[in-house]
Amino acid sequence: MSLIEFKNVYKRYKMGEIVINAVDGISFKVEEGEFAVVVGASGAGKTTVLNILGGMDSCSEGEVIFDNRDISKFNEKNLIEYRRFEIGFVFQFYNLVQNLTAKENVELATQICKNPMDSEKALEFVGLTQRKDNFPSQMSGGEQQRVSIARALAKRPKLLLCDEPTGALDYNTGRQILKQLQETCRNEKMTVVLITHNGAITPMADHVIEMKSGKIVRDEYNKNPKNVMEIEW
Amino acid sequence: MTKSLLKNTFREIRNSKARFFSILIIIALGVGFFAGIKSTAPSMYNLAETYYSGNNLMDYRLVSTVGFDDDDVKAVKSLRGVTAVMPSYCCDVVEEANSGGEIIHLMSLPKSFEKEKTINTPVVKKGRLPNKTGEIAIEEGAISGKKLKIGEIVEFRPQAGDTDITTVLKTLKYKIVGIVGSPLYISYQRGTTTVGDGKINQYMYACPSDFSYERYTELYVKTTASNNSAFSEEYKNEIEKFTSVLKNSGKVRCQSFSKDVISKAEKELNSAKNKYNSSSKKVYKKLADAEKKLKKGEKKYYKEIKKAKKELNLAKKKLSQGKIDLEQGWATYYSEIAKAEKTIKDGEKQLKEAEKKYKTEKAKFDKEIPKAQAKIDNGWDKYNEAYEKFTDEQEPMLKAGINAAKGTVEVLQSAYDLVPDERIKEQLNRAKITLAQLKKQYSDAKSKLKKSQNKLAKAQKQLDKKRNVAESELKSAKAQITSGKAELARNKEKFEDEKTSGYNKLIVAEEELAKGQSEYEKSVKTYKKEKAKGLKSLQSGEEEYQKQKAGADKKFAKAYKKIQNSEKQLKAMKNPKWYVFNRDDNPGYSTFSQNADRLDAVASVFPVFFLLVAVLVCVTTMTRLIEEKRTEIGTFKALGYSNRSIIIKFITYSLTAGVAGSIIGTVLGVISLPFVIYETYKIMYYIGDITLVLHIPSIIIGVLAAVLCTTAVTVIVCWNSLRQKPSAIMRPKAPKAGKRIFLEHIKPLWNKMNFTAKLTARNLLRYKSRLCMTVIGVAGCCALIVAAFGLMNSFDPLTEDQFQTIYKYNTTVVTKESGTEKELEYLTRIVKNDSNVKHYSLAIQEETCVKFKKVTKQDGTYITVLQNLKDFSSLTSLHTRTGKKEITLRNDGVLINEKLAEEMGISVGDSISVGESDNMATVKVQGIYEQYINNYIYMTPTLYKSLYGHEVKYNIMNVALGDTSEKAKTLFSGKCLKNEKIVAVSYIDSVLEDFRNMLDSLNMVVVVMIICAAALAFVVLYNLTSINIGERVREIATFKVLGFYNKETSAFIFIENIVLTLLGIGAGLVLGVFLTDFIVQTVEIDNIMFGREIFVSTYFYAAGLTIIFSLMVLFVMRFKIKAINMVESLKSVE
Repeated sequence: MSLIEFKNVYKRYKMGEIVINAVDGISFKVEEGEFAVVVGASGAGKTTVLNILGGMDSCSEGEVIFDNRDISKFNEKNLIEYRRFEIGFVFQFYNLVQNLTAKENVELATQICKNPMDSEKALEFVGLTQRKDNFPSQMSGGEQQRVSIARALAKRPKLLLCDEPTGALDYNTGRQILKQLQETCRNEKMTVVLITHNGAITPMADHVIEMKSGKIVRDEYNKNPKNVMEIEW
Repeated sequence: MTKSLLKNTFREIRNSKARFFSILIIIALGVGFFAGIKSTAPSMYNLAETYYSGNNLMDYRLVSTVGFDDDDVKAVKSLRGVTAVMPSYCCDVVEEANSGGEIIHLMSLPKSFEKEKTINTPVVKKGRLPNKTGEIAIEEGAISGKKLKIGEIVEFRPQAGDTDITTVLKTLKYKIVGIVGSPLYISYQRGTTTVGDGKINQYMYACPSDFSYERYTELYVKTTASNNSAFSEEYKNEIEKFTSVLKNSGKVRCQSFSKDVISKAEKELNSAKNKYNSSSKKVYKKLADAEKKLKKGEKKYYKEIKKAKKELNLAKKKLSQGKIDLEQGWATYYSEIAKAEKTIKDGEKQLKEAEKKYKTEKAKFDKEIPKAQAKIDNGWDKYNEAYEKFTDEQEPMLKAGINAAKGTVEVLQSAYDLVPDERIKEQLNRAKITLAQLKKQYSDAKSKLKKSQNKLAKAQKQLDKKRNVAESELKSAKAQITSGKAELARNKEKFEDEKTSGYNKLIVAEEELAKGQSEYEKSVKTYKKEKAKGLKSLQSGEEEYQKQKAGADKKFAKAYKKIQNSEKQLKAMKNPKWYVFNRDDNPGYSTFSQNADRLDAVASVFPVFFLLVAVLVCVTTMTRLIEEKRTEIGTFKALGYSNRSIIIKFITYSLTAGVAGSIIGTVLGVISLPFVIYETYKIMYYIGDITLVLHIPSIIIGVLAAVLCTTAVTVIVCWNSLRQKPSAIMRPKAPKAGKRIFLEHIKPLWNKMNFTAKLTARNLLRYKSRLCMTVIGVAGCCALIVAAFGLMNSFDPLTEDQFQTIYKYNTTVVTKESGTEKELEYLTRIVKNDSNVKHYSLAIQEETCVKFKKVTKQDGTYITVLQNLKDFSSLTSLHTRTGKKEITLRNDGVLINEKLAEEMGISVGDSISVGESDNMATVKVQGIYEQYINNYIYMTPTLYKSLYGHEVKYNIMNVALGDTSEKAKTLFSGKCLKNEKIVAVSYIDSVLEDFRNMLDSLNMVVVVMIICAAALAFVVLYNLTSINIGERVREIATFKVLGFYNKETSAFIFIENIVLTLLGIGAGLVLGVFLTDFIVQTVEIDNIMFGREIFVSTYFYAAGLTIIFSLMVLFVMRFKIKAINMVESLKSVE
């Protein structure tokens, strides 16, 4: 049973007279425990997919099945709860609350879900125990992103949704983050959906979905996903 | 500025409508409020000026102790600078009770002297001006009493105070022909007088010809000073200059008056005095004689009455004795008759018995006597038989035997004598014995016979005797019976006679008694009649005497008074003096300018603060706007736009908002506020409606302040950004680092705080400037609301505290004339016997001067003395304002009110001079008490006497009535006003009502303030909250993505806002106290103390309103937060 299933999903934006299909009838599945990468150039519709999958936006047509539930039919409150309990979100720009320490930023997530991880444990998991009392401004980008990951994981989500997690990071730090994500997927059996424009990192994924102009142009599984450290870009 | 930049600017405005308009509105509010209120005072001044010049208000009013004549007028006229003089008459009169009983200042209609323009021209509001004698015009704005109407008749009392009005006015009855307004009286104040309770209620105008004064009572003078505007400094200076000129002229005129008039008058007075003395002496002697006679007559009358009464009593006693006697007579009569009747009956019975006895006796006699006779006859027969037998038989035999025996004895004796033998002897003895025996036998028989004969004779004799006795007895008995019968008959006759005569006698006595009774009654009647008649004649004599005496008293009192008056007048005339009054002495003139100044003061404080808050908020808003547009600024700069043109973009933005706001605000402010506020003053001033006069400087200042501040801030903030290199500007400004706050070091507290609280605390302290701005903005609004309500609170004690807590009496009775406690006893008597009166005391309120350390104060300051110290605290509660500690009046010092103390800097223990300006006495201040209206210096009657050397002359009585229903009040008034020495009964609740109305209108200003402050508060809060949210869109979006409910997301923002608002409120309440205090002190009117306390409710209102506004703002903001797109979170940091 797949964790996620997009069934003929459309997302249309009306720009005056013109109707733009940001997502143009896509269908794909992501199995539980998979490390899936949605890849595509700017404007390919991957962010829309992310928004729909993340419960931040709804599709215009089609079904989005998550854990046997059609989230496309969700009302606002259901969507909030979906985001709250099912999704862990890792942002491109970390989106840490500047005014909270690393630990507190994690707690921001743990305080609202049912069965959270201990915040210190989450930070330990991303290797930041010693920085737990630091404010975001006192940490490097990579560290901030790891706090962000810790914050996402601390919720024990069913799905870890990452939006260009390496976008604002340098190469090495980016690799560290990806490694972290891959290890999380492997070790914790966490389903990870990573959205990126960087095609170079697709080899590390179990499942690659390539998009172009709102359509899926490639949907394939890597038989032998590479370790992050093996790939370079 | 390029076209695209311009386009960008206006697009900017369009895109941030809310922000733009919030700046616009804040500026409009600030500037409008400032400009509006600032224009009120000039508009008021303009109104007064127009009114004064239009009606040709005098510059001076001259009053002389002796009046003026035409020479005086001419003399004044000839002074340099004097442009016109108008002589006039006036007097203070009292209306008859049916016309209202008010005290009227009656003036003569302005009549030009030598054809000049009339001064103080009254404005006809309705009807027309009086044009012939007996017509009168009344004023429009009489604030109390019953309203008179055109066509009605006003009648004045012939006496007003000491003045005999009939000597002043030709007629006392006037027909109302018009309603006018005088420029002399622009407010509700009517000035003071010596008549009645000393307060003029209304003024009226009559024709000059109605006044019978010989000399003018006042002169109105116009000078060149009135070429200046009424309230200007120039006017004041010129007036001061002319005052001394007029005073000097007065001195000169007075000297000539003394020479001409006074000596003549003195002479006249002396002759009048002499005449009075002689004629009064004569009349009073006559009266004394009459009294003496009357007394004598009275004495006689009582003596006679006493005598007559005594006589009557005697007669009465006699009558009653007679009655008793008569009754007794009747009783005796009847008992006597009964007795006599019984006697007669007894007599008859006895007679009958005697008759019966007589008859029996007679029958017995008739029967027994013959029987006894027969027995005796029988005895006689037997004797006779025995005698015959004896004589016939026995005697001869016995005599023969005797003779035989005698012859034997003699033979024997002779035998024996011859022979003594024994046997002879024996024979002799035997013969002797036989002889003795025979002799004896014979004597016996003879004695027996004799005895029988005797016996028979004796029996016969006895019988005869018995018969005789019986016969005589019977005879006498018969005679007795006969005589008894006769006597009885006689007695019977006599009895009948006596009975009749006794009866008659008694009847006569009874008749006499009845006659006596009726006579007595008649004389009682006569007595009573005579007594009444006598008394009546006595009384009529007394009455006549009293009448005569009263007539004489009255006549002489009048004459005496006249003389006294003349004396007084003369005395007054002796030192004639001119008094020079100017417009400031017109009731209402100075208060009007004071009020306008006061208003200007409010306008200088409140709106400045208001403007300050507005500008502050605009500054915050602009700062934020520019910071948000940092990237854009960088971009423009990078594109090669000059710093200037970039700055101009933002200046355009802020200028557009500022100028538009200023224009809108100014227009709305000046067309509404002066009118709204003046509406309240119209209750006090009757000079028509204001026309708007803009106070251009203040408008310019307001607009400049608002526009310049925002623009300056725009420039400064822009410049700060522009100083950096384009690349630096384009890069997002590094988010301000989160850091530990001091609270975290207080572990026990920090650990207990929940997550949201921690976040809020850090956030608050993170943006310190924003914190300050928000707190100051909110605090400002809150303080404004506190000040507005506080000002309203400060009016409050003027009614509730003053009239209910401090004045506990509810009624004032005003006497016609002032008098000592003794002289006003009639009033005390009326009040004392009224069961509805709980407490009362005679009192006086005497206008006075107070001097302390070279500062003199007169206006609205009174000496107050209450006669009844026992009831003092039940009538007036004198206590300290703070602590409400009761202060008791003692004989060693006076009590003064707080306002007076404050104004003159007097504190407890200081010595002040109190009294009329020519009779000041120094006294210690013993206490300072709470009082809001006027200044009262309280002292005891004892102290008063010791200070001024005479008894207190009371003129009012303060009364606390138990029942204050309309009915009870009417009853009480009626009772008091029945006495003609009482002129008025006023109730405090009507005064209170007047005050309430006045203050209610003042409240309008406050309402305007509250509304503006509230509007400002709302806009400020909206703006600040909106900025806060704008700054944190990304954070909010992140929260949303993290799955926070809307409520939770809002809470993060709102708690912060609420804390800021609460901090602002806290600061605002504190600030408000100072602001209120400042405003209240600035606004306070002379002789009135506003409350110094801000009510707890005010804080609640201010805090509550602010909280309500912030909640309203938050409610609006919830939608704004909800509308924030989560996608924002994905965007790069700008």
